[in-house]
Amino acid sequence: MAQKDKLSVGGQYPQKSSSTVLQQKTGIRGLDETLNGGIPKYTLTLLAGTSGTGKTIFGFQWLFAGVKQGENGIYISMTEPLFMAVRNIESMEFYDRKVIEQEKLRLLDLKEILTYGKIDPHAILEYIEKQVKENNSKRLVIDSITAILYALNDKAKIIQFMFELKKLLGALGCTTILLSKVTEPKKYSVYDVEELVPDGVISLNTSIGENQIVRNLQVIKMRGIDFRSGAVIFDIYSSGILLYPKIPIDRSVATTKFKIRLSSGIKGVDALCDGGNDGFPQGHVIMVAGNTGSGKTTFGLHFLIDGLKKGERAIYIALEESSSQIKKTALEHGWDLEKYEKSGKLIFINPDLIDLNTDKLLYRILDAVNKINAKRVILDSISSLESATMNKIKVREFLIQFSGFMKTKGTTSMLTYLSEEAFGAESGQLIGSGSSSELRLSSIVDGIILLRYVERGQSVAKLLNILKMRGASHNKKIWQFEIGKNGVILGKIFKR
Amino acid sequence: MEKLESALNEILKTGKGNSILLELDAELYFKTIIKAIKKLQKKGLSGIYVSTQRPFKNISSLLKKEGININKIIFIDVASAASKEAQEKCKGCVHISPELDVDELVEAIYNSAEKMKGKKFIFIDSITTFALYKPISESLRFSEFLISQVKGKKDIILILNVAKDLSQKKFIRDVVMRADKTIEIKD
Repeated sequence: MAQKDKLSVGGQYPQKSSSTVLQQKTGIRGLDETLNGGIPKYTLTLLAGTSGTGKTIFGFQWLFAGVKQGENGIYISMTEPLFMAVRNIESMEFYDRKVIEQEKLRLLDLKEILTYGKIDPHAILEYIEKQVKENNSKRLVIDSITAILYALNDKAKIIQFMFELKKLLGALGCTTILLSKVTEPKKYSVYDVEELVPDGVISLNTSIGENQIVRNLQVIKMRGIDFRSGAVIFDIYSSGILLYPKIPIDRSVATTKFKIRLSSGIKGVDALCDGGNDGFPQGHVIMVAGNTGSGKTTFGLHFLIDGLKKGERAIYIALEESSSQIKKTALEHGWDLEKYEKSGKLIFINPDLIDLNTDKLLYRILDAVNKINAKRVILDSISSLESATMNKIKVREFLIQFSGFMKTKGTTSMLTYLSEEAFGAESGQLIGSGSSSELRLSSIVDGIILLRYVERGQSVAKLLNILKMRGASHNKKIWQFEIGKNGVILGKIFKR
Repeated sequence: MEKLESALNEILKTGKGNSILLELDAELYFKTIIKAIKKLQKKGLSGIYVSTQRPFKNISSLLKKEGININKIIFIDVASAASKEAQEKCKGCVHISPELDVDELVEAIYNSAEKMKGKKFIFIDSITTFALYKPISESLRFSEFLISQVKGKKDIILILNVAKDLSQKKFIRDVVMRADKTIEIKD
């Protein structure tokens, strides 16, 4: 039943049980993955949310996606004037006027029934039946069911109406979404009974971030299928609703290739990774950790430019500085990143650090990697991610997914990390001075290059050593290095 | 055609159900309009004719030829605005700007209605053509506003034309389903 996750290269979450339930693709990116295939056909789903959470857009996006799949649909407005609902979606990319003109999506206004005179639930059911049959509709949205329920204003009548609606539409082969307007985020209905009858309940919520509204979706129930529980962040773009569920990574399909090596771009450093084979194994995640100003970004730029010069494509995730600043710094070393960016071989990801969400960032990275089939990714830096999110656990989860994805793609990545220790290299201190944070990340990354300072008379010298390189017999010695006009120059073995 | 006559008779008699959606075949289109206006004028109604298909000069001379008293009609020329033709000032005609702004159009209808005494009709010819120029939401807003404005008013009859043979006619029929009556003219 479950469809292969389009968003991941790795695979999908395991199914608890096999099922023969037919599922309908929602057309909402990330939702089909959350539902492991889509909404079960012929079911009734309650979509609950407070005002402004995106219920109407959700409904229309689902309907338009249905038409694309050859399924006619009906949208019934029960509260707001129809033109208001339509106006909100006319600027969306999924909106297609022809679909409405050709009546593949029928727009109906039923609020009159509720405004004038007493409500007749049977008349509403008969009307819906007639419309669904006439239009051979396979998808129906009622916006909102709350209006009918207010008019019924009796729990027993509400349950009976919902049962009859579910029975009728199921028999007609129509899958239905009922929009439920609630006043409190944790509620799914006004009368506390509406959610009892539907097969599925999806809740949309918003919370206030520092700089923007943070939206999340949670599948509360969906009978007949295994779905991913837990809140999933989403956004509304001109293309429609976009969810960011955790990406399933099949760690068993890692494509790390030890025989294929990618150069660091720094003369001498490749040989330190493995005596015989130069550079980093393809698919490895390398962390360059060091004090402030120790040259982490320059290491990243070396790795980046080496790939670009060889015709590879790359992604630079600039969290520490703006992409324009990175480009200027690179240009100082004679590396014109602008040229590669313009030719589409390099993509900069420069997210806003306020209200940064790691799930969203991961999707941006994955999209970019997939778009240009990037072979190298530089993330500068993990520390900025930690500062922006103030959540080291989230960042660790992000890195686990990041690392898993890069391995399944065979993309080699370099992450920079600002060490908490200020100065190291006192006698006997070097190896033990990796911070606890670095060490916690050690299990996620395949290689660690430590950069640090040592006092030499009235100045400081820079040192590097390779602390870890999975599957390689790396050099264990401590090396001096300098950063000049042409970047990093590896020096001699450090002597106390 | 009989359906239309009896519907108009009923409205004129009772004052109820005063918004009508007319679904018209291309062949019967003009004939039906003439007949409806003649009938309404005979009953002493003056009216507003919103023309989205023909410029004022064309539609007024056509109606005049058919024996309709055009002095008792205020024309709102949407067609000239839509085609961005030069808009000459004429007595009995209101021009609107080429943007075809719904609010401006509604205001023009409202102001024209204010100038008329006694019972009156508003003839929208046609919603289908109007929808060709504007987003669906605006066409919905226009028809919804008009229908809600005339509801319950005994001195106004609203007639909205819909061309049956255009591809989007069904959509239009559905969106203006709030009209009190839908009459399909076949023969």
